[in-house]
Amino acid sequence: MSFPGVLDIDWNVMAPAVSLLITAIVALVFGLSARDSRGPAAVALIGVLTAGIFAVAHLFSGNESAASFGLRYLGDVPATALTLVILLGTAMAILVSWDQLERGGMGQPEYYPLMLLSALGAVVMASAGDLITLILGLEIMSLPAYALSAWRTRDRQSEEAGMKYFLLGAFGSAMLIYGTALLYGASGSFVYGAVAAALQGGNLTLLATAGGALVLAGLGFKAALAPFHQWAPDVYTGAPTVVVTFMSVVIKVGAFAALLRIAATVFPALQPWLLTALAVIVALTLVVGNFTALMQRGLKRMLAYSSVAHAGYLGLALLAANHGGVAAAAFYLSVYALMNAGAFAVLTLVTDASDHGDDLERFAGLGRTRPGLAAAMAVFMLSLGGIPLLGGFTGKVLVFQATIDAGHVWLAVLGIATSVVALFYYFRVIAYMYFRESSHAPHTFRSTPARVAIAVALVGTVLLGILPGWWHTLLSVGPRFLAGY
Amino acid sequence: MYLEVLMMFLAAGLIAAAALVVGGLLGPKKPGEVKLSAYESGVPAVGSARERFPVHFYLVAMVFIIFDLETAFFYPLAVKFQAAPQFLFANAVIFVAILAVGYVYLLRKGVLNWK
Amino acid sequence: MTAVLTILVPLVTAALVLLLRNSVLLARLAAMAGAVATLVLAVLLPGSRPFSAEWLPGLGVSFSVDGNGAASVLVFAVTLMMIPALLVALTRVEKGAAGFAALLLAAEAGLAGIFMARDLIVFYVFWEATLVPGLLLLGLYGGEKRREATTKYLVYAVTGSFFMLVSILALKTLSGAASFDVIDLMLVTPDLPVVTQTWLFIGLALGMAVKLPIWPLHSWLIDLNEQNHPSGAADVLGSLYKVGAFGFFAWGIPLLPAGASRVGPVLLALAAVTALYGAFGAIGSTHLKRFLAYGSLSHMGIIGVGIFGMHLAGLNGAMYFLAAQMVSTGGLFLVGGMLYHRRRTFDLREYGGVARSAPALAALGLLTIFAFIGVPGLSNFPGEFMSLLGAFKNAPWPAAVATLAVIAAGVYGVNLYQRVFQGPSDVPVKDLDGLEMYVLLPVVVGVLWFGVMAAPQLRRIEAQSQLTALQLERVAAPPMPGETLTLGGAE
Repeated sequence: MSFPGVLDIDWNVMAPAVSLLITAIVALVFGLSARDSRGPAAVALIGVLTAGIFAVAHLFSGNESAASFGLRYLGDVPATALTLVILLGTAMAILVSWDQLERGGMGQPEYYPLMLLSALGAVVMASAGDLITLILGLEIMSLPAYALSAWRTRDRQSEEAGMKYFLLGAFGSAMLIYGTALLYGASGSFVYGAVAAALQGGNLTLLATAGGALVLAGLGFKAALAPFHQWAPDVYTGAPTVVVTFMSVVIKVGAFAALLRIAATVFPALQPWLLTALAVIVALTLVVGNFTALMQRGLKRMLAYSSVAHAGYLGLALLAANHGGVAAAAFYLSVYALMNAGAFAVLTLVTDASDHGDDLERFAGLGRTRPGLAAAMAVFMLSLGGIPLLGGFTGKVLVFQATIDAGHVWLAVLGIATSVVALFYYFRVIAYMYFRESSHAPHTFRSTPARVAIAVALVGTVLLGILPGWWHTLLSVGPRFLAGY
Repeated sequence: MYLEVLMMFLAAGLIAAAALVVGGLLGPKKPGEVKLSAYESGVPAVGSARERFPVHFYLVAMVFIIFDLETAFFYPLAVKFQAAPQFLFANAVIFVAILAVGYVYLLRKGVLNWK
Repeated sequence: MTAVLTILVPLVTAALVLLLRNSVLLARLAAMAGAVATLVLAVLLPGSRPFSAEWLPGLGVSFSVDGNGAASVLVFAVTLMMIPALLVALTRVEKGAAGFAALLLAAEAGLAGIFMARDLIVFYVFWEATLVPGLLLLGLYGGEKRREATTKYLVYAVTGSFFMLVSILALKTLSGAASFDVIDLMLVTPDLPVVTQTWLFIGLALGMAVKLPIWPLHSWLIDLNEQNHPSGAADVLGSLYKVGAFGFFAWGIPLLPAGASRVGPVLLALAAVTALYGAFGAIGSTHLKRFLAYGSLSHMGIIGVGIFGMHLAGLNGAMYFLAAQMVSTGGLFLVGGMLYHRRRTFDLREYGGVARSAPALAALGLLTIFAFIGVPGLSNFPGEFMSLLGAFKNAPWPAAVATLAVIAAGVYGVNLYQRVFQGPSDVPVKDLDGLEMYVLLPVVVGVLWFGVMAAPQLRRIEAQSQLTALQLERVAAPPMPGETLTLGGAE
């Protein structure tokens, strides 16, 4: 007996994931004898950089149809590019955590290995070409994240965050697995392309569509699409800010990477009401995310709801997955990773060691007391709000153009109308920083690694705003994305 | 073609239900204090079961699960080993190596160190 | 390359000024050198080669700028007025003068970009990006109620321009244009069904009408001018922000001529109302800055009338008026700043008899007021005249209403001069100092230049407005009766 399609391992495709795995193991062992958490942080950073080098090398090798395990683990452009985004987000989170963990008394050395494993899961999700690989990736990504969100031990909010995230996350996983079972039952295959091919003209589409709906709901939990978003604000508020930096970027990229691929391959073969349902979900996400964010006083919670809102914009791209939406979403995710991680990085430096004190008042007068931080924050806020010459604007234009191309003009109008709302809560931060006097002394906590992270985010956000062409061209792969077929 | 499976489920359910019902109807009932009290492995229960256990038990249970899973994976591997010997051998080695790291980690953390 | 440099030089200068902010002298030198260099570049714009480079090829966006046509005149006005504005900003702003100057320069770059963009997305990028320096100037350096004014400005500007964005994106998809380049778009968009064009034009108009500004979307402008820094330097820019008319002229009408012909009459009526409303607002104001804001709103109404008259002469005149009023309105705001510097109030009732102790200030003030109200031979006259002339050809009634505003302008202009400069003098004030002379010199030059040398500049504008007129002729046929407004008529 042989193993058809299982033994073909392209190590170029696997290299980023394997380096993450090895680094996680090394960092774990290293952490046993490390005095504080900075040693493992350095190991983790080196590992992420190594994985990044492998990913870049593969991305520019021009070998877009590379895959391992017979199309079950893909190395096409979106997979590799989103892997890079995940690695970027992880690197940012490591830099932000570097000093902050010790400052907050959370310096257990297992932090970084867990983070790397979670990133590994996200990478697997982004590369998954079949549903089983997807489930594996999802679990690898989620389990460490549950532990990380409860990282601040003996803090009720953090514990609550971990518990809530675990329970709801397990619920989401269960839905995904059940949906996978139904899809398999209807098509007899796990590989996306084969599922879609088997469903063409089949008479089991109702069963398959139910499966697709469950898969959508399961991944919707991870991506924080309304109405599956309720965990997000509580978890984001309770979990340590450094962990939220990681989660809000990496987990979102992982979930959307998987959703994009499924939306481009499997969904078109299903009954059309699923796409209608998705459109309703996206519209709901846009409205709920933006309007709830508008009502928040705490910046962390505001950013939590804003990340729900951004899930809505990415959802627009899902609907347009076969009209340039994939490249648009990949671009959007790249910028989102930078600007969101940057905003959280600033937040860690402004709030207390216990992560409390994220109220807007705390930002009053920051423009005078800490001008550098305030300027960076202003750029991130403007970019999140979609002001031109910053990456966020380019991302939004790409997403809206794809949405209109796909024929969802009214959703684009809704997206843009809610963007107006979004600009208000983002601009409010700037107004507090610059147009008000500070009421109390700001923190003098400084962290060079965090500053590096902020600088990287700043340069990236501006660069993708001023010169977006090269990255978008690289991402615009059209049919090559469907290497799953 | 799955009818047999369904029939098996039904049969199993019926037998279990029958055992309970018939036993309850026909069995002699002579309750006494000793008979009604809870017991553990034949030892009379002491105190409440809602007690706090040292977390150590939990950790040891985790160690057990690690090796339990290892065994569970090795059975199918052994059965199909001839299909691709080098590949599966490499697989097994990597698998054991990762488990070994976990084991070393647990040892260093003092999981098996009872004080 | 000249066009690109006109955008890049002020941007780089802004960054440089921020870097050198700790040394007053170096920051001032850098800012002035940058502004003068930009002015020189702006003078060189006519006849310069258009520039185009790939920007976002996946979306059909290229960074295309062209300094010919109306842009050359408008950019010249912007860069000319930037020099007095910077002079004032660098000397009269007590705290954070370097930041103020940097924001002014950034806005200058943005405005140059708006006027020179030849790609619809690039146009939108500059349109929206220029919002930020304006907001910061108001929020950082404004008066007591700056937060409210900032919010108001943000609400109006962002709401409008985001709907503009939907229209822009839909424009390409629905028309099937190859790219967002102005030529590619103009070839196909007039062939869109009338209903589609109408909807798209309404979307564009929402963004542009706010920034024209047109009644009833104007109220942000009054508060913005009132709350801006009392030196008036930011208001020079504030008056430059009225770029909506240019949007209609260069994009809205030529791209969607059928939609424009349908919606145009409504906008024309609103513009006429705006002209009159602004004039009466000015007559009723006792606050100098509100007075000027209302006066310039009235000008914007006349520009709107010129645009929506959709006649070649009116289009030419409106663009010329837009450029010329930057000089006169900006100049008046600077004069206002000088008055405030002396008396610490903008309340017109407090003023009187300034001419006795400060004759030079009064003389230049009078010249600027005359330019402001459109006295022949000075900057505003040719544009104002042609705007109304063009409108009269196509729509006599709204033009007649707008003409009333011109008459009213005579009233409030003379009234302003009387209230401030004449009458009994209770408080003697200093006359112009050397710096203020230098500040007002470019204003005087501009006022005379735009008043006398109209012909060559109008020719450059006409090269572009003929395109607009051609597009309008393509769809001269009236819309079908009984058509209903539904989107997706293109499919």
